Amino acid sequence: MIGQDPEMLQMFLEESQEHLSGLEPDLLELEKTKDNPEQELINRIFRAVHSLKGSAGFFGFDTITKISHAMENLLSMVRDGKLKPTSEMITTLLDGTDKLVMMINDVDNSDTIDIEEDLRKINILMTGKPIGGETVQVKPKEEDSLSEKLVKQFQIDPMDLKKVISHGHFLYAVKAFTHKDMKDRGRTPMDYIKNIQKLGSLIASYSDISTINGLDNFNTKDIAFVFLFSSVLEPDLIALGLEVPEEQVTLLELSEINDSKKTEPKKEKAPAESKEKEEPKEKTKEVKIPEPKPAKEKKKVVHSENTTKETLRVHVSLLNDLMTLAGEMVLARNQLLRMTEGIEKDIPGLPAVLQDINMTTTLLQGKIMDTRMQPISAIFNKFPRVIRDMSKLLNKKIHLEITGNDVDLDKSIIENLSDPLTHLVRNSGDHGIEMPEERKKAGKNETGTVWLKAYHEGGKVNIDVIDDGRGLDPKKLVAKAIEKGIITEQDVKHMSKKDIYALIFKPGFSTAEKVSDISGRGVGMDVVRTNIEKLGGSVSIDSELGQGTTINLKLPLTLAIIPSLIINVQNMHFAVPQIALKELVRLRQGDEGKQIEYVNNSPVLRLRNKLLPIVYLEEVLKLPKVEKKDKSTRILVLQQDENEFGLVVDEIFDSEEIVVKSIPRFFSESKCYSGSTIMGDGSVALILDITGIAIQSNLKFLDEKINSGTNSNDNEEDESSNELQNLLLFENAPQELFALNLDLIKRIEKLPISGIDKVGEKEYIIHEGKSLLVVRLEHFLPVKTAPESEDDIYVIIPKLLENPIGIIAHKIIDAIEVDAKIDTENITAKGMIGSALINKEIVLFPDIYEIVEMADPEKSHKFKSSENNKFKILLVEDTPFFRTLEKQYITSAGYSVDTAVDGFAGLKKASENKYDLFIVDIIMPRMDGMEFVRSIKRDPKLNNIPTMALTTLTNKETMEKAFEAGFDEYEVKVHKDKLLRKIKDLLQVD
Amino acid sequence: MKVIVNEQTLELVFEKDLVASNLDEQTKTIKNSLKENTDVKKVSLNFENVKELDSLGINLVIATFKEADEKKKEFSIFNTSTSIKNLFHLFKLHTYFDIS
Repeated sequence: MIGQDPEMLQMFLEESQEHLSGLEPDLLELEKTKDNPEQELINRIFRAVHSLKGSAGFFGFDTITKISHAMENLLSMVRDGKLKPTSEMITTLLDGTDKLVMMINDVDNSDTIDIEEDLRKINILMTGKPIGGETVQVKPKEEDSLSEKLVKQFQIDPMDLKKVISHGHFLYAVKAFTHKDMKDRGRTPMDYIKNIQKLGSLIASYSDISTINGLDNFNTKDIAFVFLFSSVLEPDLIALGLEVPEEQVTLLELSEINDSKKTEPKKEKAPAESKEKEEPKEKTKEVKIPEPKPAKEKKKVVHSENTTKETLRVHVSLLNDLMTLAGEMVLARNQLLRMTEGIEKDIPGLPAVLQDINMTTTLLQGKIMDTRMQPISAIFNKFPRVIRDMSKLLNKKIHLEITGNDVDLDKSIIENLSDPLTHLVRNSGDHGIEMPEERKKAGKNETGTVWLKAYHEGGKVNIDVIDDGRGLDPKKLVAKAIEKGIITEQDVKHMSKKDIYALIFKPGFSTAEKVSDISGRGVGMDVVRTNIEKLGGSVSIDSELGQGTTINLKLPLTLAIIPSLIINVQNMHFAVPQIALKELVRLRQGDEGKQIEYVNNSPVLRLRNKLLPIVYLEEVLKLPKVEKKDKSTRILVLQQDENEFGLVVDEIFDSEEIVVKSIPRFFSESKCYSGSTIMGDGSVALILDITGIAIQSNLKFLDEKINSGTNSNDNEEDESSNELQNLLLFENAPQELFALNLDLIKRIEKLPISGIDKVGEKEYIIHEGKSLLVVRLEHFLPVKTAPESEDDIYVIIPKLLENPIGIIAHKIIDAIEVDAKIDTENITAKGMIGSALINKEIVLFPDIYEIVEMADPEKSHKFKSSENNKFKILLVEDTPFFRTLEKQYITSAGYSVDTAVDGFAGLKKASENKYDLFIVDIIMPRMDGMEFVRSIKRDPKLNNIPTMALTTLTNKETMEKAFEAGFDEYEVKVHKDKLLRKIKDLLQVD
Repeated sequence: MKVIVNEQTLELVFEKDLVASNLDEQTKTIKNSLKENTDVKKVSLNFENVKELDSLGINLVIATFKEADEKKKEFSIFNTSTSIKNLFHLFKLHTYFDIS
């Protein structure tokens, strides 16, 4: 046993790890191709195990030697064609590999590992039988024993063979040709034999003289001299030592050589009279010595054969030290540049030197960071085994597709990514992919697929884990979340599909029917999310029931040194990671009022027709106020996942590459900071965490609704829209208030009570020279009857009625502008939209169109059809009144309707749900109707869905712009019949 | 090379080492001797003067044996040095003909 020289031992461990890292993928490949495996693949596997065995033997690691020896024997039989690889065999070899990995990782305790079961299985497999719990001892058949073949072929004493084995020598069968390998190298046979005997022992030999027939042309014939040779020389050196090509040397398995009866070597005379004995050697059944394989083995296994000479092993600790030093160098460079700012021109040559230092430092830092970059294949490569084992355990058929193996990530990120990614992949296989029978029933391929993709996008590394399994069932998720008390039924009404899917990241959540060994103990996904966020990344999930699930991870490329923007607020410096920065906006003093608006008491910036929520950094961080000299408003437009918001700061300095240091302990609880750095002037600046700032500010676009306590109204639509409405308040009977949106009213006529003419049961007035049917609300609504009076009455004439009517009102109260939240649930009746609380009084909103239908049913069009319920329409309308009214009109025709409060919310819904038609207002906050339809038309998934503009704007210019933007129809609010007719046309309903 | 025909034995006495440079002539002599002495029953090679033997030399010995064997004559080698004898044993030539 070689002494435990630490350096030698370390080299052994590193080499072993390299052998083992290649072994698993090769075994999996062998399993895939087991019906027709490549010989080189088998050889490669064999060599890896053989090398491991040999080296471990030198160091005296007996258990490692024992199991690798057993695996080598099994592989030898596969290599020789005596056994075919089977899945069972691969499983056993993989298990053996796992044991070897375990032992190499803790080599000092490797001899304590129990390998008896592994050895038992290998022994059974070597008999060619399946593993079935038998304890069959493998005994090679007498007639097949290598030793007996050797004895016969070489006519040797078996005792000599025994000696070879007991001394731990290698045994080779070698063929040397007298011309090619001896004469042509300038050696006589005697010289050759003398030479080889310096390297080992010539156990036995013979020659093949069959090539020579007589004295004619004898000098051109080559004779094969075949000999058994024992030596301590390793297989990779023996051919060199014996001066023969590798293919003429065969390593013989000593374990196959058993005791055999001592036989007298027969001295066969080759009688000239007997032809049979003419060539006795040819008649003797030769040992089928395995097809000569190159005995040479690579001593060092590196990543790729092509880079054998181009790579160098370096300790990770050295790379970490280099990284730290690079960071210090960056800081020193920053300090130097800052100190010489303004004075560099005073010293001749200094600017050029500073430039050099700057550039070299940047390059050096970049190169050192590159040394830390590892391809993501370092993690991805373990998943074929994970999927394979999972398939077998669960009796499922799962195929794994990997792309983007060469995407690089910082080593520290890769190390921390392995566990969360493993959990996600296991989840896909365990919970996502269905059993083969279930998949077949669903019309899917029995074999499910899991895709693992890595790619660069938006300056981050994206990793997708996608499966084509059963997908997430939102109903099940909701039911489970309610059962576990994570959400309430009320919460569900305001949750989008993505919000529902995100429930799986809540602690304690698992919807698996059974908690399997593989995943789903309910402690996984929340930990996954936390771990990813700790790395500065994010995780999102999307799914389609019955189709599959996609989980997306976004990760920064590195954590160590990042480009940032240095800002100042209240005389304190902070660093903003540049990757989050979209643009900078400056509002001159006095301009703020023009561009900063307020929605729901929160400031927003109108930026190119979008409303950007803005937060004041000093308020978020609760900094003490300091008088500002410069009254301009500086806003950083920041991106946080898919959302943007503006961060108001006092000053913006320069961009700088900063070295990320850990956050001080006393700040660790704060969500607003992700780290700290040392500035060029030596001062410390905290690095802002954009997600944390957004959370702290209670910005509403996050996955989780943060209950800030400032808005207790859970109605999502009302939270985002405070569109003021112009309402006409009137009374029919005293104390009973009604309201109509002024946009719906064409005219209000005041006339004496005598102006109403009765014809039968109906009442008319003369309006614009024609008879106009008038109605009393108490005839159609469950409201008080107006008292008889001699006072003048009012007739409210609505707009956009094909068959105009007038609504009698006894008192016009006022025209008001108010934010009215219409309640459609509590006070309901046919002919009513709903009610609202205005100035602490209940106000009823009559539905003009329904009243018209009730008043004159014969003239009303029937648009309702049971066919219509298969269509789903998205109504994008910021005014609550019109949103409610239009929704009612559309649903009255049997259509299914979703609503959104503005273009931004509408786009979100459009991307998450399937719609057949978009009906969109034009003027809306955050994103208007024009911007919405342009976005729809740009999206290949949505651009074939018809869109209708529904607006109060009637001018031709707006109409033309709307069609240019991409609208298919343009309709004015709100002519119910026309609206429904156009919907019917756009949906091509018969 | 000396050729001695003695009763039924054809004895070929090599006078030089059996190495490539000497072989052409010796080969010719062996061929002619075998041709001319078809009645002999035995062919013997006398190695008393042979110290060195290269691969072509071995080929020659084997070729001569094959010729003799073809003609159904007994073949043997004698007066070999120890090293040459060992060599022939390693090549297992002693299993074809007597070597002494």
